[in-house]
Amino acid sequence: MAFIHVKELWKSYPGVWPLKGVSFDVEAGRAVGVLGQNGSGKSTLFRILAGLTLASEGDVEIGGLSPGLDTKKMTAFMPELDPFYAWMTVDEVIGFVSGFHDSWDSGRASELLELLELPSDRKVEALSRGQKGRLKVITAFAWSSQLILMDEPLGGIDQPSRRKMLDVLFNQFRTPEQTILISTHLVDEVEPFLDDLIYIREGEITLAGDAEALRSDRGKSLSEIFEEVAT
Amino acid sequence: MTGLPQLYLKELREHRTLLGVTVGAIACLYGYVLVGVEGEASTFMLASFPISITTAALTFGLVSAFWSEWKGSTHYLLFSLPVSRVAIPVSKYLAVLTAGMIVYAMAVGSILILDVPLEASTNILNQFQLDPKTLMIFFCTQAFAWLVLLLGVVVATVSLRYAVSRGRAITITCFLILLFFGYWYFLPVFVSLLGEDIGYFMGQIAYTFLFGLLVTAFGFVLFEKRAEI
Repeated sequence: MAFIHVKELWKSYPGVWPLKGVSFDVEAGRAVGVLGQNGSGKSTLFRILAGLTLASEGDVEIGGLSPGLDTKKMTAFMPELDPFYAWMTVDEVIGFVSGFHDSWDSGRASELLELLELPSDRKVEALSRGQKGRLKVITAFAWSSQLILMDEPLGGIDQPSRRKMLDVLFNQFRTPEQTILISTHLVDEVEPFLDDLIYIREGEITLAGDAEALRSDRGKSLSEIFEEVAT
Repeated sequence: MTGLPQLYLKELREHRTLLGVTVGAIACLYGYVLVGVEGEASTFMLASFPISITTAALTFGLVSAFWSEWKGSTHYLLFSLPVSRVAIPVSKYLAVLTAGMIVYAMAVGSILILDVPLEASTNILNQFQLDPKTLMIFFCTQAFAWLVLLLGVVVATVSLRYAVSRGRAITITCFLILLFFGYWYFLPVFVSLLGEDIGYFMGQIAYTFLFGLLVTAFGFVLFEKRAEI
C-alpha cells in the first residue's frame, strides 16, 4: 500500500483551478521531486497534503489517513513563505515548535543549529532569508516525522549554503523510512537525491515516474527533461 | 485540546504590550477615579468610561491578533502544527478574554472591596431604579457582556474569512448585517421570556452574554470544520 495516495484531486479558487484531477502514489521512504513552473499547482498540492488547505474534490491519504490532526503529527511542512514569528529568537522558535512534537530531539536540534551555523539568540526579524530557510530545516528535522514536505526550500539561498543544506536534508539527518516531497526550480542540484519525479503543468500531472527510469529511457538528466517538458 | 496551553501562552507573550498596557492603564484610571474624583456626575462618567474603553481596546486586540498572523504568514506555521484548528482562535480569544476578566474584576472589586461611596444623578437612578453601587456593577457587567459579544463577532468574522473563498466580502457583510439585525430583533423576545421580575436591563445583559457565546461557538465550529489557507 502506498504511503501517499492521491486520486482525482481537484482544488478550485475563485476563477482558477490550481489542481485538475491530480492522481499519484508515493511509497514510504522515497524522495520525490515535485516540479513545475510557477503557478502550476505545486504549493496548493503541498498545502493540501500538509492539512492547511481542503481539497475541493478527490481522495488524499497519508499513511491511510485523510489530511488532518493525525497526519499533522507525522508531517513536517516547510512552506515557501517564512512562517516564524519575527519577535521570537531562534531559540524561542525552536522551543515553541518543540512543544507540539512528542518525538522532538533537543540534541538533534542543537546539532542542526551548530551545523547550519544559526545564531540561537538572534531574533527572526534580524535573520537573512537563507537563515530563515535553515531555521525551517531545524524545525522539520529535529523530530521523527514520517513525511517531510519542502516547498521551494532552496529559494534565496546562496549556492554553498544550498549544498550544505541538501547534504543535511538528504544525507545526514534523513532516516530511511522518511518520505520527502520537495519542490524546486533548481533541479540539477537536487537531482542526485531524487528517487521519483512528478511534473505538474497547469494543475495536471504531465510526467511522473522513477527518476532513474526516466533518465535511462530518455537518455537525459532530470534537469534536461524538466526543461524539455516545460517548453 | 492538544496544544492549546502553548498557543495561549504564545498569545499572552505576543500581545503582552497591548494587554498589559490596557490592564495597567485601566487600573491607574480606576484608582484615580474612585479615590481622587469628587462629584456625582463626573464619578459616574469616569467610572463607566474605562470599562467601555477596555471593551473597544480588547476587541481591537483580537482583530490585531488575527491580522498579525495573516500579515506575517505565521498562520502557515499555526495551521501545520499538530493541534485542532479550533485551538488557534480559542487561544487568541482566551488571551484577550483574560485581560477583559482582569479589568472587570478590578472594576467590580474596587467598587465592592474599597467601598467607595458613589453618588449618581437623580435622572440615572430613576431610569435604572438601582442604588449607585449596584448601578456601577451593572454598567461594568454590561460592558463585559458587550466585550463577549464583540469578541464573538470577531471570531465568527475571521472564521468566515478563512472558510469562504468565493464572494468573501459580500458574505461577511451580509453576515454582520444579519447578526446585528438578529440581535436587536430577538432582544425583546428574550427579555419577555425571562419575565418582568428580572427587568429589561438585566435581561439585556443576559441576552448579550448568551448571544455573544452563541456567535463565538458558531465561529469556533466554522473554523474547525472549514478554515483553510
